[in-house]
Amino acid sequence: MLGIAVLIAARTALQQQVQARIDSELSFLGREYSQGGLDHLLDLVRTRGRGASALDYLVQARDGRHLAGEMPTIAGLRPGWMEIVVAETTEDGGRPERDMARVVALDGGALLAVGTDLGQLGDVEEAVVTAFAWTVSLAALLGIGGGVWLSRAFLRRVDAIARTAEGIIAGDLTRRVPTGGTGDDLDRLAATLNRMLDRIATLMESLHQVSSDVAHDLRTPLTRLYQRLEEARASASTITDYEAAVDSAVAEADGLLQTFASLLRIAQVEGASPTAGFTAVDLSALAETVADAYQLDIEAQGYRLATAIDSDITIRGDRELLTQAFANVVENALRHTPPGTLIRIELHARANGGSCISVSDNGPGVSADDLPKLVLRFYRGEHSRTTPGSGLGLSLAHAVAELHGACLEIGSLNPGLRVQFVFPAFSAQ
Amino acid sequence: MKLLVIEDDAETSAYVARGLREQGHTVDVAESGQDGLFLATAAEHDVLIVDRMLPGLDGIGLVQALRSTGVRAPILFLTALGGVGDRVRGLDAGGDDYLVKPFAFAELLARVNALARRPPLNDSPTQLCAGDLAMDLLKRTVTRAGRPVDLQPREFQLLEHLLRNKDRVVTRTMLLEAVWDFHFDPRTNIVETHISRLRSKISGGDGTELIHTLRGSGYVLRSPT
Repeated sequence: MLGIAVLIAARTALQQQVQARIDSELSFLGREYSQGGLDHLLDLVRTRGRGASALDYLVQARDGRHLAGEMPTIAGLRPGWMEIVVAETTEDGGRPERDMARVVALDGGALLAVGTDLGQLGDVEEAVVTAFAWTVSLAALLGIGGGVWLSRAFLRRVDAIARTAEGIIAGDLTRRVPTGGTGDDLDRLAATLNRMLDRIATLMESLHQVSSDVAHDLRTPLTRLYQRLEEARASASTITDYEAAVDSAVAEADGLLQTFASLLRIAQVEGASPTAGFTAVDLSALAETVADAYQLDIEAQGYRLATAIDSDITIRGDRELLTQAFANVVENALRHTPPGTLIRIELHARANGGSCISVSDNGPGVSADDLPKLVLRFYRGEHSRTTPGSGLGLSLAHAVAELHGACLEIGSLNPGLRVQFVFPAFSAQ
Repeated sequence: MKLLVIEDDAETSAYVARGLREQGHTVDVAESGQDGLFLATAAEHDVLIVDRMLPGLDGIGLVQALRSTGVRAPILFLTALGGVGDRVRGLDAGGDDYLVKPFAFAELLARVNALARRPPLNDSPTQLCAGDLAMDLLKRTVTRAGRPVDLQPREFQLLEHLLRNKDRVVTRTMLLEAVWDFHFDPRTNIVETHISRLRSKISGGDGTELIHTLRGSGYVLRSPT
């Protein structure tokens, strides 16, 4: 298409150029004729015909006689553009020449024709076509070669991704897609895939963790339940015995269900997509509600409660989960410290626009070794083996914090422990 | 009361139906969403108890269908799905209350009773009373035998909820949801301590108790006879 367009354009330009030349020659000869008469014209034509000019001439009388010029006489020569076959056989037996010529009638009745060899035009066309053909073939060659090279490089990398995927399908979740380090589209895709794989690995890990936790830690209370029922069947003899056995079995089952509910909740939170169902949560009101809910309980058990809650702190989040997570932390403080302990509930805005809600106590605290283990599922410190609780409270708090992009920080106070949720700055949209 | 239980698990529906019949209720049982839809539209019921996961038409779809055909009876969802989102979807579909499996029968009974006698929304009294205890909802004041009782806002809410459900059992979980908006079970005695504080504040000189504890099920506020 492009070749044809170029060819047509070149031909048109050449033709116009040749026609302009013929036109100007004709108007020159016309002027000479009107000034010097026919003989002067014939002289001129003869001289110019022999010259180096590429133009061919013909002066033909009205009755068809040849007066001058190298073109042969032509019957029916009329003014205007026409093609004239110059049946001239050159000495080397070349092909007959075809001229494009313009004919004008002179005042005296003679006809003057000026033409040029069409073969010249053809030569130029040929040159254009040849040059074009070369260019196109070269471009095609380069294009195909480059394309093959590029696609082979591309396919190699796609193959690498496919191999990684196959490896993962075969069960090796540690495999990651290699990156070329060039930062191109494929690299970006690889990086995204790797992040997806990281996320999947985390989820799988947590799933695995939950199932092994369940297997290990629910077995104990289930065994206790089973033993109590068995003992009741073997040795209970009075209604009171049976009632006591049933009551303790119900309490044990209740504890089991609680543990299950907590595990499910944690799994749900860990698997939840962040921000789905998030609304604006008045953290100040939430802290007040929790403090208010536990105040009586805290005081009734001989503890002391102090609160310092900044007002008008709002974040985006899941209010119910945040309430439960924070309540868990308060209950944790209450459960793992002796009566008389001062429990502080605080909520403060931070300079960076974030906020921080914390529960601290001045109780015995936790040894530095145990601090990082507190958020593990079912983890219970040596001293709390005998206190009630499933060891899931802080795990849930941790999962909820992660869901909110917050950080659950647990630190020693000497004496005591502080658990705080540090929320990042929250934009108000 | 006439109740309809729509539950595909035969053991659960038998347990629920037996318990409700022992309480003197008439109970219809449907095992699938389609049967439930048919029974609910064929006869009037006081309360519908609907499982979330049903074969054929699921609980949400069933409740939407019921509401669009003009069945206005209160609906209690029973479900093993206890997530926040699940509860919201259930209530959005037209359910009135939500009970997560496994549940204690006393809890189910208390919720069914509360639903059945839930006053219409436009009936909002400004005065609640039980015996010589009077609560003015506009002035936010409480008096016992004419003597003013000073209550914290949370205690006021607690008493209001008990008064609105006078003579009906209100469970610990129901109070946690209604008064504190806690949709989880704290392992501490929040409700117990608040009830005991409230009791001491509204106790009359004559020692008549208004708030009674029902072991294993909850609390009930009764007018002295």
